[in-house]
This record gives sequence, structure tokens and C-alpha cells, in this order.
Amino acid sequence: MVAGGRWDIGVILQIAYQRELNSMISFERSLLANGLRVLVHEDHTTPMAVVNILYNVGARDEQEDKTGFAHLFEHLMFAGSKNVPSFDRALQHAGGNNNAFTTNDLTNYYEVVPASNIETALWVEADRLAHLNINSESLEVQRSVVSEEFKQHYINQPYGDAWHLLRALAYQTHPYKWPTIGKDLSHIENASLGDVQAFFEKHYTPSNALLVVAGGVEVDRVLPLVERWFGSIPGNNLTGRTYPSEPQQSDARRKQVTASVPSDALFLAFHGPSRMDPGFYEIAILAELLGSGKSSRLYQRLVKDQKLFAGVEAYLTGNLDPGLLVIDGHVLEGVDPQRAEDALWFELNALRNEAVTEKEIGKIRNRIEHDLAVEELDLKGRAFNLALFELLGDANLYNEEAQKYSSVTAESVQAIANRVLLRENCSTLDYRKQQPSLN
Amino acid sequence: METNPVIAPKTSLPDTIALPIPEQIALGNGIPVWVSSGVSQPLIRLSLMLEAGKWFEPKQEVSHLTARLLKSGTSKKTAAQIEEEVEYLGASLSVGHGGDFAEIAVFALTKHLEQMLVLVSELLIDASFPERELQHERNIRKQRLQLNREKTNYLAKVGFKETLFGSQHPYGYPRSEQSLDSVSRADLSSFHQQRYTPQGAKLFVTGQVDEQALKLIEQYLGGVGAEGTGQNGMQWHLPEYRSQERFISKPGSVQSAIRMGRFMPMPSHADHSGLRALNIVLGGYFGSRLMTNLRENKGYTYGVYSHIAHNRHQAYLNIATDVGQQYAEDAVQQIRFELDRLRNELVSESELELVRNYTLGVILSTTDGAFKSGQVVKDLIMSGRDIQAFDDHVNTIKTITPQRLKALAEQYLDPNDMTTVVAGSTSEA
Repeated sequence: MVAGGRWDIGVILQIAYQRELNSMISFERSLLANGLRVLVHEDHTTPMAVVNILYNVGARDEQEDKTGFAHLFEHLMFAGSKNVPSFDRALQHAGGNNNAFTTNDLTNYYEVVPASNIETALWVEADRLAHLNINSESLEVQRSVVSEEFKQHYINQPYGDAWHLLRALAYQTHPYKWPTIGKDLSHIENASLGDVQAFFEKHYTPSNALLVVAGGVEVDRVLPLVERWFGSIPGNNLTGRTYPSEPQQSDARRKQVTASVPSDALFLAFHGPSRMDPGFYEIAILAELLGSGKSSRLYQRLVKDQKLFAGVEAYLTGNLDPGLLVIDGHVLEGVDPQRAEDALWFELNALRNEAVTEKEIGKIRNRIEHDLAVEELDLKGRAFNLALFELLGDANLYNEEAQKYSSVTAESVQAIANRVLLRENCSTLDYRKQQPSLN
Repeated sequence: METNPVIAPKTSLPDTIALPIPEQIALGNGIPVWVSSGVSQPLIRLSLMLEAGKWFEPKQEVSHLTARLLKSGTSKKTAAQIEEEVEYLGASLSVGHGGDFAEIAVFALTKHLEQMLVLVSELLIDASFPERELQHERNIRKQRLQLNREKTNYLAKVGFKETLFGSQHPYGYPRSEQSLDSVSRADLSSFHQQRYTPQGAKLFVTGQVDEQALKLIEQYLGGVGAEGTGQNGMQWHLPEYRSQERFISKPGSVQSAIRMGRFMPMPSHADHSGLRALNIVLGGYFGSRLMTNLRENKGYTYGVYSHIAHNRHQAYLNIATDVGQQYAEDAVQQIRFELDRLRNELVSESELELVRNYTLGVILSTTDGAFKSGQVVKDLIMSGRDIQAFDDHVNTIKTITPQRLKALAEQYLDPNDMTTVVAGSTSEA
């Protein structure tokens, strides 16, 4: 470990050395006086560089009567700042591109530029944190854009409201009960300039952010640039944040809706562990085994063999607080949805009663090895993951993921199945196709 | 320039942006191979392109179902066994089809390459298309078709191609229950035998590729398909282009989907490179004329993009967006307005510089690593161009003038030449 001390502002340096084992993502860590956490990951095999800034604010930080703000705010971050009237143009001029996304837990922004132009990316990102233009004109345009996004993805699509309904059923207390787009279109339509400004001041501050710089750059040249552009932005002292915890579900929950959709569908949501809980790796593997790909249990048995579903998948919401394992299936035309649901439960019970085979575990191990190798190819993915794991406590946890997944056993998967795949832990959305009326 | 010149950091772009030249070899059966190697992760990708797209099918949906069902069984293995085999390795094996070609794509850890090659060669020689799999797939496709018909963007996409090419043409026919029902197992076997052959095939290999990998590829793919007859292609008549307008009704939609475009010259044509530059200005990036107008200024849409699509025999401009239903009529007018603006006014030097820098940055990132550069190689070769076209295109981007852009717009972007298709809930007539 090398101690820092080159910079007057008390930068802390920590270097993680390369190990000979599985390729490791190396990085250097530092901390600005205003609380901004900074990581630099050098990669000289690429001509590009990435700036990734993650803000610890998401839909879970909203109030129930004013939802959709974190996501609306993500859009407003592109409205221009004092020295950078057009964020996108400044980056395009530097040969770069950018994007952002919002989840229930966080909001992430990234820029990709030719490595020679890394300072432009740092400049534009710092300027909007320090001097964002929030005014009624920019709010009106983004309000309209987000409203169209809401309609395009959640209203103008068959089953578009499924996530709204499923979340509201599974979560009674925790803010995960509404989706990131917002609980209702009216929340976005009624958002006031004052509301939006207050949101910015509260959450968009250096001490609530993690900055990663990655790619064809050198840490000795990057850190002074970070200090130049971010160093003078005042931090504020954030008080710790807690979220109302979701009480344990004790009874099966169910909702049936009927709409103009082409087939019946079933959505089942089960409460699972949080991201940092050791059971997370078990439940991730359980979801893969259940319903990821055509050789998965549910696909083979319910789609191919029994021909009850046209398609069925299982996946995690992947949230930081306790999230959901979701199973989503479209019932095949002509099949009674009750029969399809019963057959589904038969398979879920099978996973509780018998351990999965060694072959199935071996398959998951290969898939994880493949997926981790693929993930490493992508510079911006590496940058985001470093930020995410630093948010969770230590960026180096990223390098421990492979080992954690490979420690999962058939027995530990069976154990988590018995904790999770229970009716009293399940919320079911029974989505029925409108039958033609008889006139 | 919108940025404050006093404090904006200086920017620069590399003087040369070069595409790593692939290694070129040929397999024993004549299939040409392009190899882009040099990644540190132990991953390899193969893309085998076959002359088995819609252009070559004897009746509608044969190309599609042959591709979908290639993995559905051999004389020795069931679909479940094949799927299990691939998924056990954590690999992917996908078979797709398009207007002209079918593609078998393999993506795996290098240590699993041989097993994947064994499987691919079995599918090329011994795919059996079991009847029960065909029935099952047919039902799934019909159900998917019903679902897709609820979506305005699907209706517009399909309607646009049908309007451009005609409802019987391989590039234009819409999917239907009848055409899915009329395909028999014998049709699939016969098409597979005729068209999944080395004749006209091309192979692209990217990733961590060494001598051993190439030996395995020769071993398993170099002798395959010697029996295929590979009949000469069908002769399709390309329709005479004429501009049309079409409205597809979808009652109750809150959004309308718009597609606008026309036939364009092929990628090998001298005007293509300049047209791509023009397309970027029009609708090829987030700061484009269309995006600025429809999204940033008016908030009509979440996104609007244009691109020049191409099949082997015809290229076309495709402007696409989903807008709030009440905005559809004006959105069409705004698109026409932007087309006219490019024809009547020179693009300013500063806007052109922005587009130039942005585009060169994008091109630079497409050369970043063997997987990305290999994809560029594949696109060039499959569109009838050569590696040199990459340098020519970079040069065009660096040197094109506002005058040239205007001349191209005058010739190719007349709104009255465009075909417009709108799918939504009210008539825009």
C-alpha cells in the first residue's frame, strides 16, 4: 500500500496491485475535501476513456405523492449549465457520447471520449453539478419528453402497467412500491419548479457521488484534472438515510386485471435478499436455473414439454435493498391460466424438495465465467461496476464477485428456494385477456 | 460555438484512425474467412453468413422458419439436448435470417470452441426439423404476431417495408398466419439442403484467435456441405420506386409511429459516404436536426432517428419515430421541413465541425478491440465493399463541405419523393 501526500488537500491513495489469478480490475482511490469519492482505472489497450459519475439517489428517495422525480431529474441534467449551455454538444465536439440511467436506487451518468479529451468530460460533468440551469423552460420540455416515454413504454404497450401493479402488490411500505418512471403520469405532469430545485439541492452534491475515470489515461495526470474541476464545488453534510423497511409478507397476495391484450399472462414476485446479503448469489443462481434461457427448468417443462406457456422467464430486480425474484409468463392460446399457474407451482415446489443437479450447477458456473469475461470487455461497464461496489462499501468487492458465485452449491440453492419460493412470500398478478362481449 | 472559449478545455482527435487489417484465409471448401484477433479475455466469436435469406426462398417464411428451427434437432439429438449442450457451456449459438443472408453466430469461451464447432457442423449437415418442433414454433410465432400487431411501431415498421417493396417481395412481405401455416417440414429440409452450403458463404472470426482455433475451424467447417447444390439465386424484380403515403389505423393508441424514407444508392456507390454524413446531420445522432426539432424543442417524442438501411440489392433511407398521437400530423410536417432546410440552406461550418468531431469519435470507438473492429470488417464485406472503404469514409467525414452536403440533399432528400407511413389512432390525411 502506498500512502499519498502529493496533494495539499489530503488526498488518500490506495493502489490495488494486479494478481496473477483471474484478471483483476485495478484502480486507485482518492477522496476530495468536499467528500467526492474518486477512482481511477487505467487501461492502455483502448484509445477511449470514460467518466462515470454515480449519484446515490433513486426512486426510493422520492415521496409517495411525488414520484418519478429521480428519473425526471436525470433528464434535466442535460438542460445545460452556466458554462456549458449544451451538454451534448460540448461532448460531441470532443468526439464523445454519453448516456444516463435511473433505477430505484441510483442515478448513473457516463461519458465516453477519445482518451485525449478526458478533460472535456470532467469539465462538463463538474459544471452541471455546480451550475445546472434549472428553469421553467427546460422543465417544460423534459416534462413532455418524459411523459412521452411514460406513454411509449407503459401505456401504449400491452401489459405496460404490469410493473406498476406488481410493485404495488409486493411492497406495502418500502418505496420500491412504485417504479422509477413514476407511480402516475400526473406526478410528472404536476411537478413544480420548486419541487425540482429542492430535489437537486438535497441529492446532487459531491458527498453523495462517486466518480470513476477509466481507460487510456494516467492517474497522475487525471487526479489534478479532477481536483481542478470538482475540487471547488461545495459539499454539504448529508445526514444518513434510512428507508422504511418492508414488513415480512405473511400471506399470498393476488390481483387480477383484464385488458385488451392478446393473451393471458402471469407475473409472480417473491421477496428476496438485499444486494449485500450473502444469499444474493444463491438467489441469482436460482433465477438463472429457473428461467434464463431455453434449457432452463421452466422453459423446458412448461413451454416445450407441457405446452402451457408461449414463453416464461425468471429474473431479479437486482435492487440494493431487499428486491424481488420475478417470474413472468405468457399463457399459450387456448390454455386455462389456472392450469398453467398450477403447473408453474409444481416446478417451484420441485426446487424446494430436491437439490438441483451438479450438471445444472456446472452450467451456471460456465455461464458466469462467460458473462464476467464479456463484462470486462466493456470499459464503461467496468467503470460503472467500480462505482457501484464503492457505493456498497468497497470497489474491490467487484474483484470478489467471481469467487462468490462459484462458492454457491446445490444445497445452498435449495435452501434459498425454501426461504423464497413460498406462497406466503408471493404476489401474483393475473393478467387476463379481455373476452369479446356478446351482443 | 455554445461553449465559453475562455475555460473550455482544448480538444484533439487522433490524426489517423485506422481499422486493424484482418487476416484473410480460405477454408478447404472455399469459404473465405476474415480474422480479427487480439483481446485479452478468452472469448471467441464466429459469424457464418450463408446465402439463405428471404431472397432465396421458394415461398414466404421458409427462410425464417429454417433459421429458427436449425437447432431443433438432428438425427441424433433433440432440441432440448442441443439447447442444453450450448447453455451448459455458458455459450451462445444463434441463427438469424434477413433479406439476403442467414447467419449462424457462435460466442463462447475459447476453451469451448471445439465443442461448439462440432455442434455447428452437425447442424449444417444433419439438421432434421422435427414435425413437433415445427408445430410448436408455428404456434409461438402466431401468438407473437398477434402481440406485435398491437404495437404501432411494429405496424409502421412492417407497413413501411411493404409499401416500399411491395407485399410479395422478399424485402417487403408482411408476416401472416397463412404463410406460417403453409410451410411444411419438407420445405425446410429442402431449403436447408439447397442453401446452407459453402457456396456464397463467408466466415468472420473475432476475439482471442490463435493457430489452434483456426485449425479447429478448418477441421469442422472446412469440409462441410460439400453435397449442397447451392442453386443460383431467385430473380426478383425490384419495384420502380414511387413515393406513397399510407395510414394504418390502430384505435386507442396514445402514440403514433411514423416511418419516412425512400430508395437510396447502394453502399458501393460514390454518393454513399457523403449521404451517410448528411444522414448524421439529419437524424443520425442525439444533436441532429430531427432530434433537436421533435424532441428538444417540441417534446413530441422520446426519440427520432434516421439511417440508411441496405439489403444486397437495394438501400433505403429510414426515418423513424414514435410521437404523442396528437402530434403526429405536425411531426410529419416538421420532418419535411427539416428535409427542405437541408436542401435550401448550407450547414454552417460550426455545425459541420461538431458533426465531424462527433462522427470521428464514434468511428474511433468502432476500432477499439478485435470484437468491435471485426464487426466493422463484417459490415464492409457484407455490404459489397472492401477494407479500403473504411479509410475512404474517414476521409469523407474529414473533408466533406457544406456545399457537397447541400447538393446531396437537393438530389436525395426532396420531401415529395418520400414515402410516409403512419400507424396510430387518428387519420392524418
